[in-house]
Amino acid sequence: MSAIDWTVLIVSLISIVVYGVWKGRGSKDIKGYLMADRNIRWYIVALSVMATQASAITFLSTPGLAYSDGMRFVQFYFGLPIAMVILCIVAIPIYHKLNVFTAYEYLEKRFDLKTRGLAAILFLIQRGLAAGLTIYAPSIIISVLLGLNIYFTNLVIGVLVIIYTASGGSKAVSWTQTKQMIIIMSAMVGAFFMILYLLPKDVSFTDALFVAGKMGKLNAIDFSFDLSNRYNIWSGVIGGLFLALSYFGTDQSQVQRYLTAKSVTHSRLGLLTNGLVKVPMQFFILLIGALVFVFYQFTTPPLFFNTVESQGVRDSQWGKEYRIIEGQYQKASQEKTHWVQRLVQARHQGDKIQLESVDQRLKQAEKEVIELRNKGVLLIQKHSANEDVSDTNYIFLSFVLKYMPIGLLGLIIAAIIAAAMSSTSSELNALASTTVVDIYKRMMKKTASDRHYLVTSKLLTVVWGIFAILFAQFGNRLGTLVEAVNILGSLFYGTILGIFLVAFFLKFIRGAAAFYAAIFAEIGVVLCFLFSDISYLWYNVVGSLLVIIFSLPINYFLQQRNNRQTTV
Amino acid sequence: MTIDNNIKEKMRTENEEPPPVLKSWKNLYLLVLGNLLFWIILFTFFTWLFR
Repeated sequence: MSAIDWTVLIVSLISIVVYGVWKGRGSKDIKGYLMADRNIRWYIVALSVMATQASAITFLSTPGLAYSDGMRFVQFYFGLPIAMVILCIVAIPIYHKLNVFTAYEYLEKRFDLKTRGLAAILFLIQRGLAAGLTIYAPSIIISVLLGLNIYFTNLVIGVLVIIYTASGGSKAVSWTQTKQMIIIMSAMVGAFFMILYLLPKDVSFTDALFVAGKMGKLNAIDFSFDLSNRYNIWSGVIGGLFLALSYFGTDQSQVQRYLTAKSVTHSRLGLLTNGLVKVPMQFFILLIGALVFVFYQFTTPPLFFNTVESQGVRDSQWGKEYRIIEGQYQKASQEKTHWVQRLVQARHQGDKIQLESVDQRLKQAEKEVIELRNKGVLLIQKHSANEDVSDTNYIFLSFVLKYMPIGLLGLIIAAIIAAAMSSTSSELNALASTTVVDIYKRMMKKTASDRHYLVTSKLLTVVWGIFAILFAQFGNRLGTLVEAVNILGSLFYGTILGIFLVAFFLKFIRGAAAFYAAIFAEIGVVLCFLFSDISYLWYNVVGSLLVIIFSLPINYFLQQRNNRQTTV
Repeated sequence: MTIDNNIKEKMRTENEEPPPVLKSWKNLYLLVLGNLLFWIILFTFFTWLFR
């Protein structure tokens, strides 16, 4: 990276931290610190909710997914707008009415303390681990591609977030997220136009879409129903709805964002704006990945985008074999480029017969390239003794580092780190809130001064931040990061959502029944994960339904027992 | 369960308060769901067009 890029990067990051500390000053109690005095306007809520969900993983893995698997991942977000509407009708009025700090506080008012504690602890486990991944995701990729030490990068991102989140709390988180979203979206729009500019002069935008489509990358919609297929419209709408309901309705890192709003109206408008914008935004990010794929049809891509892994195998006993495969891969890629160019020419000429024959040849050439890449990956797997070696997360940043002009490169890296910071800050803020409000203040130290709880909240933000940094070191043991976070979330979200659904809609169910149903449901979800092929998006549906189904007979049984005891 | 009556009253009137656009919350919800349907139709067409 050039000095200008480093300057853009460092100035962007420092200005975020300084802005966060400045905007977050003046909180005198935990209402100010954790709830931003409930004074945030709807557009800030909308940007804050979006920035919380859009982590660095979104901007690194998503284009990589489109590059390797096409655009079908967009279906994952189809349940989100429906969830936003349901939450606006059901959850927001209740949370505001009860004036709660956390979503779990409502569970005690509706059920009992142990159900509140269970939901809070499930959240702390799941979100505590995810916070580590949120830091790790950009760290590992930036470290590998810029040659930096991973521990150093983890530390820098983690410490920057801790500084403004611990000092300014919720106010600092919400306000910095608006700036972070501006940086992120400017960088992505810049990258989009730059990729179009980098395509050969005779290849237009529609030519690029045509090539991507012919090579199976524009498969945005899949109507086939298959429980083991991760991304189709059914898993997207049904599974995605349950996941979004859990994430936005019961995950404190999101609930806290819209509970800081001035009123029900502002909370609702914030969530509905997210419902309007999210699907096209994800489509746009995936389209960037598909365009990077098209770019690499005219320029030979590396056999493997993770440079550390590929250099490692070159220096190993498999080095000679790997170099031979690399040579064959280059030749096969050049051959493929020839057929892609012919395809574009045939399209310009409108020659359908030629189009069909070129398409066949191109598919053969692509098959050969994929086979050679698989051979190379096999050697990398042997060398690293890891069957899950994947370079999906490296594709976009590797492209950015090699082809983006000075200035834009620094801005894109700043955007990726800003995205990591925005999600992490919400997570730390929510982890601290839940630990203080649901555990410490409710179960350990019930009577203390506001100042005591304020200091404890700040301290716990730092403690969770340190935990996230430490966990980030273990991130390399997980596969594609975006999926790892979602799988981890899905293991717990279904159960938590089930508890809330019972609370909202089955008014006759008592606390003990909900609690035991949740325990059995969580066991069921873990068994599903261990012993079935069901895609993880369905775990949310399974977990929620199990809680509802189990709670009915358990509630009946407990009521019968109570009646008997009363009679005796 | 104790709920501050002022908050309760505030929320009651606020729930009835229409959003700043489209006159009712129902219309705004329909806009969000219609927007989703629009994108699904557009992506289906997009997938078919560039298959």
